[in-house]
Amino acid sequence: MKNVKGIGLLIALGVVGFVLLNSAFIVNEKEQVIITQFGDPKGEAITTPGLKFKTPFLQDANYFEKRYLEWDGDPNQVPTKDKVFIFVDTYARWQITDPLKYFERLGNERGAQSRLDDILDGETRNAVASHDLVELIRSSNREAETEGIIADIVNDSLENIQIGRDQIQEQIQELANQRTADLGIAILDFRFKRINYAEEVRRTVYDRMISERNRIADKFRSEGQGEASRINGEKERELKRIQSEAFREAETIRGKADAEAASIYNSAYNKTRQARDLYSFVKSMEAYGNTIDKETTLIISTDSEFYRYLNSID
Amino acid sequence: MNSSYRKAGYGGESLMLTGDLNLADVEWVVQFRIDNPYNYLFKVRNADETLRDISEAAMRQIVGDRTVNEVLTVGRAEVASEAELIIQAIVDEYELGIKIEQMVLQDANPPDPVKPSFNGVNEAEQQRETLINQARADYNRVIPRAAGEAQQTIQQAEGYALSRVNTAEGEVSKFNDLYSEYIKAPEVTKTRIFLETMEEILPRMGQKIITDEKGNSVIPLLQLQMDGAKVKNQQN
Repeated sequence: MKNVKGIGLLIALGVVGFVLLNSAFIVNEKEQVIITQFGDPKGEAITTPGLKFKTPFLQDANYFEKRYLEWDGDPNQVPTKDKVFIFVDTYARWQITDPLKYFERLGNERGAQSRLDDILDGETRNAVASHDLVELIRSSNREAETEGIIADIVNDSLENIQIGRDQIQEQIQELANQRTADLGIAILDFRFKRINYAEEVRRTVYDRMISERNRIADKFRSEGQGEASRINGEKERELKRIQSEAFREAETIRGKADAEAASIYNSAYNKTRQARDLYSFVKSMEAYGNTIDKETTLIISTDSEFYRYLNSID
Repeated sequence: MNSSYRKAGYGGESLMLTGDLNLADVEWVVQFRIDNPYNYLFKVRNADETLRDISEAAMRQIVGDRTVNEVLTVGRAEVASEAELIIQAIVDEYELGIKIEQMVLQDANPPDPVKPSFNGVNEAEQQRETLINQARADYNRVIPRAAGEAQQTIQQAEGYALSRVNTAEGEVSKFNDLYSEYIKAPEVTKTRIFLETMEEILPRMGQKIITDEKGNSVIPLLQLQMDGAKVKNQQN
């Protein structure tokens, strides 16, 4: 009997325990809970953490995230307004703001994510297709720092924008939020994570960049050649100047010296008639001395002055 | 301290559009630490992944506002510091409980297919400097030497001038001395000089022929004879 009693008590305890276990549940800091009865939500959402109770068996506790959640967009190939094909990859942060609505409209997170895909990808497509590429890339009208020579050859400045990346992101977020308002979720932030050219476009951009760089390189080379030619020209000019100035100065010096020598000679040889006589005499004597050698034949006439001298010697 | 690394090989992650619609390959590292564990754990699901998204979006925002030239050269440091500010601002907005410690721009390169042409620009710049330096070297080799040679020419001319004047003065002084003697006895002096000269030159002379006035007609014959002698000499 005792045994049977004991077993009965054990069963009773077990049943009570089971009921208690089924009725109590824990809500942690990260979660919020909706109580449903036969699938219908009962009462307000439980958003504070702690040990909670529900009617056992009849009611279910449905857990939802309370934290900010991520949404990662699929990279979409979209043409911009100026017909450039780009891949746009986006992300968003969102939060379950009304668990009851969320539960009714979306059921669980998978439903929410796929709904966000529809809404955000759609809004992104619309926004990209209605703006020029540069509006999606730039976020301000900042002035670029340019490097002289490069700016001379390629367009090194930044095009000004009307709207810009930040505002387009905000517009998408706002439009999406209008559509998620009755879904119990709020999009907290939406951003373009990645915008890249489609493969085909990328190749043409590479070609453009290459041709721009080649033009810059050509300019550098041509500048070098030009500057070298200028220096060479300067060298030639300087050389001619130095040489001709030296020539001029040397000739001037020589000329002055010749003139001075002439005036010295004149002052002596030309001072009297006798001096002139003597000079021409001495010079002709020197000339004899210089022109006569052993090949020379002397023919002397007997009436020449020279013969007279010779005669007188005899 | 946690680190989040990004490397090329993340494919499209490092390749991005610049403000002038070119492409640049940018690699960076974000170092962060959790400074508010409550927020980190309870405010956001997947905080690390979120930071990754933020950092990518922020970097593209910064690069999207700059020219490719700025990103690759002059503006590198600025890109890193701006990106750090923006990342931290978004992190705070999201309440990730994260503090960005350091944001390092590891590499900013032109995309691979474009790299050779960017290197070509650097090479061309070097070539320009080389050409200019060579021309300058040439200039410096030629001009100082020419200046020295010019000095030489001038000095030579001055030497000539000195010698010319000194010679003139010397000759004149000699002449003047002679002249002062000559004035005293002109005929005697002349005769003396004449004879002295003859004395000196006659021994050096070959043939000597003396004719008188009437003998002038033999001169052409002599001429012939001497021509014959010349021919004979040449045959020898």
